Amino acid sequence: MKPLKRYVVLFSQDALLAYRNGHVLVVAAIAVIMVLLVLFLPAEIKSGPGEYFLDETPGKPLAEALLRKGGNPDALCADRTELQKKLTDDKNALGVVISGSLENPVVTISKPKSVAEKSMNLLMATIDQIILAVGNPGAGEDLTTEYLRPRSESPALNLSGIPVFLAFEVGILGFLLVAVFIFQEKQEKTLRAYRVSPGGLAAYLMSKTLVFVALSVIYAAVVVVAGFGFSAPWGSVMLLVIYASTFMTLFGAGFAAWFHNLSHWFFPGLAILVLNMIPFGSYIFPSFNPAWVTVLPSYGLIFSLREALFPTGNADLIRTTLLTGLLWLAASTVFAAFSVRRKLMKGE
Amino acid sequence: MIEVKALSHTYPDSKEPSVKNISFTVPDGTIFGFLGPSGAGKSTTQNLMTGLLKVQQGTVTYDGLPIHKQKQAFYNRIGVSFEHPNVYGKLTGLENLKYFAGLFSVPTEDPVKVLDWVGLKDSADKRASAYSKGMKQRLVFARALINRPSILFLDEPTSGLDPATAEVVKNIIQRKREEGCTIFLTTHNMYSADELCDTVAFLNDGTLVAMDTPRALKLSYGEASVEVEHRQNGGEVKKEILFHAREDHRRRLKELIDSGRIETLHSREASLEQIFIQLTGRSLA
Repeated sequence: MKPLKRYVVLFSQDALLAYRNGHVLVVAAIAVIMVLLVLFLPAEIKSGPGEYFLDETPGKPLAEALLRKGGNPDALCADRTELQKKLTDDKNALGVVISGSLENPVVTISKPKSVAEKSMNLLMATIDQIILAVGNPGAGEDLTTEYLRPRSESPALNLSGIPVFLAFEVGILGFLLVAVFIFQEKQEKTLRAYRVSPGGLAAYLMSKTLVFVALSVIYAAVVVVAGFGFSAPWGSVMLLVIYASTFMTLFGAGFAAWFHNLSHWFFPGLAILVLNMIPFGSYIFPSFNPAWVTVLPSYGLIFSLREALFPTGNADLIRTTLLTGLLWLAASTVFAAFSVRRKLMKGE
Repeated sequence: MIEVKALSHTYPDSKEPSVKNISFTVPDGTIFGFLGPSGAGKSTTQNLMTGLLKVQQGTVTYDGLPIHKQKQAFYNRIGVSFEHPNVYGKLTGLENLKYFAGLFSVPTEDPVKVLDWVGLKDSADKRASAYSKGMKQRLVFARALINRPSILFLDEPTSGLDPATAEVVKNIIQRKREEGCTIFLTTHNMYSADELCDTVAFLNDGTLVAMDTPRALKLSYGEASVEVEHRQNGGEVKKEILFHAREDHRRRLKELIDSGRIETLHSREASLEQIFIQLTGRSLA
């Protein structure tokens, strides 16, 4: 019971210090900002069509084909005057005029601003596909589409940010705040007193980790409730949050041990945080996934959180992330124990 | 019993050792005074003895077991007071003691009672960052007592305290000795050492220059001396302590008398400070 008492006492002390150092306030402020984003961002941003079409071929077969395939009727113009008016009203839209004949079509695209090459290629390929389909009614019928998993609905815009808010904020909180904590202890030299007590390394690391995990869990619960109410998939979300917070706090404690103070730590620490956030790019642009990014712990974490909150039937992703997470946790524990023992718990 | 044998230590950034081949023993239930000026190696020796610094050369043993082989539970037995106050500024005095007490797996003192001993009971609920330096010093001293240690390491425990408070601290130290506590007292205050210590050791530039009971040291080294205040050519008054037994000092005294610049002349009893000056040529302050 005695060692357990030691852990409880240290946890209470670190929790009180986290409160008095303003760490709790910082977490609360970030949680409020995230909740406001979830509550007040629209579920989707409604805007006009990105492209307006004018079919000048005889009989307007292309316009009819577009409508049959579910195209937006607002995107079709009757004549050049209407097209010009719509392009004037919506300065970001593209104008596509198809003239000539189906056998010899002439496509003119007017760009009011620079458009990404990928987008232009995609638009041209789509137009080619429609012209081909209308000109050759049987073309493409031998192609079948097979979905590996049931198709899921796209998440609402205001909710789609939640995996990001959880994955990165929890990591930043653990990594940054534990460093601030350690530098304060270094400045006050309180560790010297701790070292001549029976406290020990394990209790030191565990109490700090528990404090930041507790803060992260509360933060995550508030953000998730704001977005999903109380019926969220708590089990998987909380396991992922606890994993992320534990990993980043332990890694952060080990990392901070090698620096004298926050100024000394700042740029290397910032570099680590930026590196940790690179998978955010993959989240926004899924085609950006070089191998070195996919091995970062935050890569699996953010996609697993998305899977947990917006299931697509790929529960294996969450299991794999948590199992791989055990290895990351083991590595961060060894790193933290080595660094804190070497740099904080032993004299030169 | 604490035994220190052939202990040496060199800091990584230094070419010269801070502690050079020192040996001594501290019998159970005694106060061992470690005297020396700032930078003599006193705190380094205490840090080596408490495990805060790794022993590079020599040995430090407690009842025969070297410090590096002591288990974590060893720290249940010792209390350490640091020269520079190191407390959590964001915690109150009481919280500092309460949480520290929670680290030990032995019965501990009531934190309020210990704060009362050192005169901090009324400030128990004030944050330590609002304490004066002397109050922080007392809080650090109180923290060293919280686990009822059988060995106490006190580094300059009366430094920065007013005479009345220093007296309170000295009384606590004496009481702990009476209770059987072994005390390693590091100080440059010769009066405290003379008053409290069973044995004193003089440390100068990392080397032990003398060690014995205060009385034995006075008998061995204490010599009749005079304290002379004389006005120098520039008009400043200078104080010198001159020993009768030393030929050069006798010559100097005669020279001063002949010069007619003496303003005061007093005979002095031997003190630890005099002995230290005699042995090292430098003052303890």
